[in-house]
Amino acid sequence: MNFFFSSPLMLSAFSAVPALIAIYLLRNRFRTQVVSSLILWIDQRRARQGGLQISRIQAPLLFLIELLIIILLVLAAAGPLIKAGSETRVFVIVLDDSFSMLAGDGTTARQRAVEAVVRLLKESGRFNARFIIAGKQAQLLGTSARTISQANELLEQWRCLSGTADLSRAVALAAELAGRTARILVVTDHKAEVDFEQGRLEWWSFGKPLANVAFVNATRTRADDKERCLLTVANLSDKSARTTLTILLLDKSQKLLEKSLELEAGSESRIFFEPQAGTGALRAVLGDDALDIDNEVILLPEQDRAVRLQVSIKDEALESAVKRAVDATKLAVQSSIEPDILITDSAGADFTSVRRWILRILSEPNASSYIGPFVTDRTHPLTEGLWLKDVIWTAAESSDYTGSVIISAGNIPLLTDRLLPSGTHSITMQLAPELSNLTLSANWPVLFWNLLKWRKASLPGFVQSNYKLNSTVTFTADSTEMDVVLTDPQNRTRQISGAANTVVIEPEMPGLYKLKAGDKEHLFSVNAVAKSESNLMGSAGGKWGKWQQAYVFWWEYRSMDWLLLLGVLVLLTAHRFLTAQQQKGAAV
Amino acid sequence: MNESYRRYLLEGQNAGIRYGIGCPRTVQRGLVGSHLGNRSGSSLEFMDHREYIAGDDLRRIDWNAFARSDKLSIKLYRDEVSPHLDIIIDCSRSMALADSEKGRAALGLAAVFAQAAGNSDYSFTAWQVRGTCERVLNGSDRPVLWEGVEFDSDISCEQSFRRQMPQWRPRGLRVLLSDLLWLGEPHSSLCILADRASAVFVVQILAQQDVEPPQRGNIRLKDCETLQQKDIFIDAVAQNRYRKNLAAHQYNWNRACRQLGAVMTTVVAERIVEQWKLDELVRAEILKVL
Repeated sequence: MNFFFSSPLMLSAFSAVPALIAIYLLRNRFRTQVVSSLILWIDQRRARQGGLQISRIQAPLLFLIELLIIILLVLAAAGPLIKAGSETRVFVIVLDDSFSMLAGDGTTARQRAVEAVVRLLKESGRFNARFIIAGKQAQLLGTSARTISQANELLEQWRCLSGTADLSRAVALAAELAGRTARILVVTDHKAEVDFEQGRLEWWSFGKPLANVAFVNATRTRADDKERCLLTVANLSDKSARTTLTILLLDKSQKLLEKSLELEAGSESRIFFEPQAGTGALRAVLGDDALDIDNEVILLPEQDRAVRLQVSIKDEALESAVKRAVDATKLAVQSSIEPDILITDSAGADFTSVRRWILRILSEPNASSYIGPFVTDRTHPLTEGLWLKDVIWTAAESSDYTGSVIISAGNIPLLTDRLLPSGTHSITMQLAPELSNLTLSANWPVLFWNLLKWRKASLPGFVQSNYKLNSTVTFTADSTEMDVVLTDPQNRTRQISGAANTVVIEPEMPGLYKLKAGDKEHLFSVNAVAKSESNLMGSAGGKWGKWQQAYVFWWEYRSMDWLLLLGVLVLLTAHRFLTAQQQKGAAV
Repeated sequence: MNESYRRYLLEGQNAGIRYGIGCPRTVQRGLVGSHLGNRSGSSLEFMDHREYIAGDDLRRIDWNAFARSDKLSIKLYRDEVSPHLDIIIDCSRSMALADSEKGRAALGLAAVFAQAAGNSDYSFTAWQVRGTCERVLNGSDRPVLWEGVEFDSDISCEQSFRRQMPQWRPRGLRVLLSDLLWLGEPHSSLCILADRASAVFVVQILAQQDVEPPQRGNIRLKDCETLQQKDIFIDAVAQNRYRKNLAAHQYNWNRACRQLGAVMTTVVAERIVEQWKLDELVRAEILKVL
């Protein structure tokens, strides 16, 4: 806005105008009295005190001058500020990147928002705008834009494909970037939920409450050599809806299932589907509605990622206990060929394999039993869910174990972990099964569940094949030589480097991703399943907050007080001149 | 004539029963010159000497006195008075000012003078000044029989006198009942009134609202005769200025009356009609209590 009042409350002084009008009206109201003659009043002269002859013909000019004086004084008191033409306006614009911005019946919220932002920048004259994308994380979008074309280029990168929008964090980042000099604008599709900084932040929402039917969950799992798909379809509106669910093979577009769904308002429908063994990637599609992105999911078959385990324990009782625990987890298969993990009670285990982890369970001859208290490193993956109360654990005092201590009894290490240069782990446990009840407690299978799960997470490939939008995808390579190329659903490729043999990917859009690591190609899918974003009934349009507290941006404005006061002085002089002339005329 | 006016006349007639004309004192009755005037005139009764002033009748120079004192002096003789009273009523609109008793007082006083004249064996004639000075119908009869008196004139007595010279009786007494509120030199009116009169009485009748200016505030004054309007803010200063103007106006008339040998007095209508006590006129020796 080009014009502000720094103290708009002072405009209430305009109430003096009716008072002035009332004075003039009352002054010109006369009580009529019939008199015998006017001769005794004829020689009344204009005097400073009583007896002033009143002429209404002269009043309007003085009245108008007085009226103008009051108006100018009130305006001056309100502190008028006019935008200085040469100042550059600084904006930090937070863009809601959630996919709900793509909803619309005709034009999307994103399109309306882009038009409004561009219009704002055009009306601001000289500007310097920075854009922050508010997705799962807040991130700056390029450099600052100083022209409309630069702004348009940056706004084209705003694609609204995130599964969530952390606007609070983005606003906090914007506030840090803005400092004292910038206006913060939040562009979204729902109403304001943050506290406004006085006069600094405006919240523009371009959403509309629309009905939407969407996938809110999609999973594909393998159990007992069978695959099973679970799809959850929700009617996110206040009216019943009908849609068609179609499941196809992704590569051949062959229909495997077509089903009509009747959904009550706000209800969800769960569809189970069991593809035949060996079925490749599936694509499930719903009918068109206000938001298209959540009408399609891609489900890839789960990869076979069982941990290969070799148990080499001489003590039969201990071996039996270990195997029972391993079998209970169903996370591992026993294999002596390139095992992923070796469990042994031999101290001189072989460390030559670059992939194999080792768990050594050592029974020292001079071991003592301990009933606690046990000191546990709860941040270690092996300790998740352990509860060592009433556990009797044996260990030798003089044992010398390297690596970080995971569980200890005082200063006696019971379980240690050593990270080897190859990236594998060597875990050592002191245990004499005949003196301990650990193998008989519930902690025993928990310990092996943790071990196998930890090992499985570090197996080559992806942990799972199907991800939700905004999930973090972790890929583990076979070797430490990382030469990974990622191809996104729009067939754009980029090379990714990671730490050790692990690559972390933040998918930016739903669809099928390909990752080439060495000679192998891996697939994973990302689906836009987020009920909170698919629910458009909470969307709203409007503006919250005001930038017009001009004192925050005082450097952009010029005060006009002096001009108004100058006008008041001129008018006062004219008023004095006119009244003096009238008195002089009356005296003559 | 308005019946209320006749009632006013009756009130005055009744009030005038105990009064007589106070000046001049009665010497003889029935003849011209049977009453001695208070001023010098043309009768044969010597009254006094005075120094000659250019323009005096040369026939009245006392040559014997000139021989004795070497100074020209004039013999003054007592004026001859005709025992007749002309009652001149100002019939301008201001005399019937709304919300005042001026009209009632004017008619009542005219009737008082008529009754007093009768009590003093004076003949009388009532005149009304309405554009011209004209006789009141039955104006020499008892006041209750007068006809045609209306307060509707919008011009002053002076203008009326000048339009047509009034046919008042020479050497008679004349009494003017008016509020005297018009612009102009009092002399010009009084000279006409006093011409060939043996005595002139001027009774100024004011309403209470003429004496006391309006209260504080914005007042639109409306002249009841000219219908002119004037918007004035009145406060204590304005009220004092009005009172000063009224006093100055009365002073001018008083001075002119003294210069021409007339007697002037002012009465407030509301006080007069309250009990018809005419002490002011008695003190001024216009009337006397019988």
